[in-house]
Formats: sequence, structure tokens, C-alpha cells
Amino acid sequence: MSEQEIFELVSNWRSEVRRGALQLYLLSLIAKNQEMYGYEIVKELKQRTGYILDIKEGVLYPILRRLTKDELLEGTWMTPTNGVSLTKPRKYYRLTKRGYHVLDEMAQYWSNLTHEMDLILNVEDE
Amino acid sequence: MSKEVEREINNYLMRVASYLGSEEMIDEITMELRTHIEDRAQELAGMSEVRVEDVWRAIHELGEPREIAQGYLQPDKPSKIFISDELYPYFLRAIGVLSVVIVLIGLVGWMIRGYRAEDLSRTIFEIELAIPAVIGIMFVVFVYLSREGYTIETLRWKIETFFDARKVDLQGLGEEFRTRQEKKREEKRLRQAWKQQREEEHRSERERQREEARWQKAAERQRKWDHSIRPGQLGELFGAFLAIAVTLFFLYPM
Repeated sequence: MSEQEIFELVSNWRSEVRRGALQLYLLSLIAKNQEMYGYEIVKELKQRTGYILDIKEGVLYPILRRLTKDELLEGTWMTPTNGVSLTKPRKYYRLTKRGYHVLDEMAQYWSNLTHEMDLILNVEDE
Repeated sequence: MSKEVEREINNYLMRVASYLGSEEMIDEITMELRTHIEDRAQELAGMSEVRVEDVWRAIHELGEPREIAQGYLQPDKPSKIFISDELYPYFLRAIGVLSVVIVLIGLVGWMIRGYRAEDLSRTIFEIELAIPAVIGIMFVVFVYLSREGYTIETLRWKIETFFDARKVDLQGLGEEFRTRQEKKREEKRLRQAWKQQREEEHRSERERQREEARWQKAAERQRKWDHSIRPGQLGELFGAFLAIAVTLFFLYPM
């Protein structure tokens, strides 16, 4: 197997993992902040994960829409009133009841998975 | 925000919108993307006014319009036996409806042929052949649509844009026809106006010539009058001649 083929395989695997992780990450992030708008999420995502969840910003919005379609999130257009100069309406996302439930399930699964992974990888290392 | 900046954002959003489906969706999506671009551009510009360069960078970071639109339009879940989850219910509905139609056509055909019992088994055999054939064709069509990433929204949009394009073509033809008619009318009007103007010019030329002729005649009359001996002049001449004759008579009496 050539280096190119290995690189492609790993890239595909990474993008699959990233796709799954991103949904969980977004739900957790919004749940933690209670409600967030698109650009706020992008900034937070960049600051916290850097290149680990390296995604094009434009990819995020379709995911948010899909999560809204699946009734895990609800989006509301609001004009922030806490600032003096902020008058532009923004779409704020927050988790629905169903979203919180799914987040719990996903987080539980992720925790088990990473635990198992750590064990396996550590065994491999030893 | 300057007009140039506004134009750049609008251009980008229009390109995203051109790849998207229903109108409600477009409005919602472009509005959200606009706030993102404006926020990012403002952040890049800091306290100063947003420049076009800031917008370009914000747009570049956001991604290609086609990619963004694809993100919105791609099927939600992986395919179900080669047909996407979204299209699968429509596939089932299509083969259901077509099967009923085939059975009805078969029965009507049997009735037209004369309700004969020996034809019934043949009709059933034909129906049994036709239904799997239709299912096969529908399966191929739906697999193709799923592989191409079509959703009901994009299909509807494709169909609508196809008919809209035809409508636009027809409107364009109508518009062209109307323009041509208007052009013809305008040309006719111009020709008439030009003709009228020529006639007026001719008329005024004729009048001018008539007037000139009148003046010439008058001048001629005047000239003749000036050169002719008028009755008054004859009297004056006669008077002068008489005065001379009387004077001579008194000076040289006979």
C-alpha cells in the first residue's frame, strides 16, 4: 500500500470521525451556553478545537439546520438588546428537550467509546 | 457599510441562492449567512469601517457557494438499498400507484376484448410481467436520483426551474415579438412624421413660390406703372402744352 493510499484512507476515516464528533460537540457547546448564534459557535469552535475539528465555516450552518430539522435544536431570530450598538437580528440556537435527551445518550456513548479506545490503545502501547 | 461591500455580499449570497431550492429556505439561509459575513468582516476590520478585502476574506473562510448549498441539500442519511431515505417513500408510492394503474389498464383491456374467460388468464399474465418491469425501471430511476444526491426539494426545484425557464423563454419570445411590433410601429410613425414634414415643406415651398410670383407680378405692375404715362400725366402734359400755346399766342399774335 502506497503512502498516498494510506493518507487517503486515514483522511476518510478522520472526516467520518469528525462528522460524528461535530454533532456531539455542537450540541454540548450550545447546551453549555444555553443559546448561541452561528458566528458565536464558529468562533468558539475555532478557539477550543483549533485544527482538530478543522472544518470550513460554511459547513457548520447546514449541520445546524439539519439538527434543527431533526428537532434537536430550535432556532429563533432575535435582536440582542444587552449591548448598546448591537441591533442586528441573529438566529439563536438552543437545545430542545429531545436535543438534551439525545445529547445525554450521545455523551454516554462517547464516554464509553473513548474509555474503551484508551484501554485498547494503551494495551497496544504496552 | 459601503455600497461596494454590500454588493460583494449580495453577489456571494445570490450565488449560494442559485444552488438552493425553495424560496423560504433561501431567505432563511442567506439571512443567516449574511449576518455571519458581516460579523466576521467587522471583526477583521476592527474599529474601522469594513473594507471589501475584509468581506472577501470572510467569504473565503465561509467556503464556496456550491459547497455550502450542497451541505444544505444533500440527503440527511445514508442510502437505503441504493435509494436514499428521503426518496424511498416516494419510490414506494410511485410503484404502488403505477401497479394500480397497470392492473386497471389490464382489466379495461380485458373488458374491451369482450369479458372472455380465456382472456383473463392472459391479462393476469401480462399484469404479472408489467409490474416487475415498472418496479425495475422505477428502481433504476430512483437509484440514479439518489446517487446524484437529489432530494425531493432539489427535484421539485429542478422541475420548477425547468418550467420557469420555459416560461422565461416564452416571455422572452413574447417580449421580442412585442419589441419588434413596437419597433415597426415606431418606424411607421417616424415615416409618417417624415412624410408629413416633407408635405409641409412642399406646401410652404409652393406657398413661398406663389407668394414670390405674386410679388414679382406686383413688382412688374409697379414697374409698368412707373414707366407708363398715367392719365394725370397726360393732363399735366396737355396743360403745359396749352400754357406754352397761350404764352406764344400772346407774345406773337397773328
